Amino acid sequence: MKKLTKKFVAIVIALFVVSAISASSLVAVASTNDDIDFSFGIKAYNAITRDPNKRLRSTSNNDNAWKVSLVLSNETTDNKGCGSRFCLGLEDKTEASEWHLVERGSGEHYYPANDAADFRYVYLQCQDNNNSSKTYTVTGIWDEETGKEPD
Amino acid sequence: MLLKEELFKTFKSKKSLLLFIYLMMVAFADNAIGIMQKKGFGPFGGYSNVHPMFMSLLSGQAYPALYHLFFWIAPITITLLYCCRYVQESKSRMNNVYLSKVGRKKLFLSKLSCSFIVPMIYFGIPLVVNLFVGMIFLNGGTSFQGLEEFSVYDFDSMSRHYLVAHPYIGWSVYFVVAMLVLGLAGVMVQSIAMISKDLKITLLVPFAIWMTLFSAEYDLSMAMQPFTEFGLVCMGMALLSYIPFVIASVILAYIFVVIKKDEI
Repeated sequence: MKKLTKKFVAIVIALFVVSAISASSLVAVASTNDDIDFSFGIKAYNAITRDPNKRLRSTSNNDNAWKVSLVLSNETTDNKGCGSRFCLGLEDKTEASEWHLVERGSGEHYYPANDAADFRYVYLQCQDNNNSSKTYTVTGIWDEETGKEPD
Repeated sequence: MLLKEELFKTFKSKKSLLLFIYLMMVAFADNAIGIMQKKGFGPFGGYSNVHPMFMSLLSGQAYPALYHLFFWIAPITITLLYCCRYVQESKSRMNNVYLSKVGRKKLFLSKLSCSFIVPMIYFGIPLVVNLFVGMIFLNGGTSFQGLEEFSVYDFDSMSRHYLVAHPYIGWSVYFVVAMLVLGLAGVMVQSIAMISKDLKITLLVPFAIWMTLFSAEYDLSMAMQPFTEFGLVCMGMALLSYIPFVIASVILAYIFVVIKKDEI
């Protein structure tokens, strides 16, 4: 009986240690400023497009900023400063942050999330800000939480 | 005289009234969604601090589908507002009465002038009402979602920067150009109605041209939509790609109606 109790306690402690380590590493991974690549086509008629990779936002601190950098966009062919609108979105495409216009090649931008994003899987959503029926491709990097303050 | 008569007929028409109500409803729906976007009601959100000018229907940011319902189907709305009358009058031989009364050239010019003025009135009023309602209910916002921070490197970006920094001037400039574009759309639709004398063609051909222009390199939204990354140079280029279609349709209509005397 004593042996059984000892084994049980040992298993519980082992489980606790393993879960504590994995949880802390998850938080550590999520809070780091990662560069997650994205590249997708922007649909015509202002339809919302999003990166298929969802990311867990493991914080309720809205000022733990998410980031986006629009590196390439072929919206215009003359290489002038075009832009697209980005926000964090939930599974049902509702916004989990404000929409922000990001200029191509303007570097990383850090934005606050809103309460809807707390401990939820979020997507990077994008939309053309012009009411045209053109389609184009955007490429860049993003991260759902960076540990940094918003711009 | 004929122009006045044509305008009064349009204002008195029940069909025009219904279309005006439709355009006003789109404008009010845009206001309603703009308010919900700002306050974060239901599925809407993400626009908490935006400038009322940015949320106007002309800017088309609150809910793009409403912009599409207002501007993208404009040639169809214009046809139903005024230009389809020419087809009906042509079928009922009423045009012959007008021709004997005022002459070929005057009839041609009156029809084109009326088709230029009517869209400006019917589309202009809802846009202005939408702006004032937005200014009342969405006041206090200052953001253009980051557009104000876009870099300035040439005349086009400089003009965009200036118009974003002075949103009332920016909105007014684009409003005047939008009215001009819609007026010219009326002229194009009327010309095609004069050439074809067929309602289906009058509905389809201008709409096809219009939508092609909305997917061009310098698309029509660059001329009519304020507060985007594009400035006055892009506006000019968009107008340059649009106006040839209008001129070509007017010349063809002139040849068919005035020179070839196709009417009688």
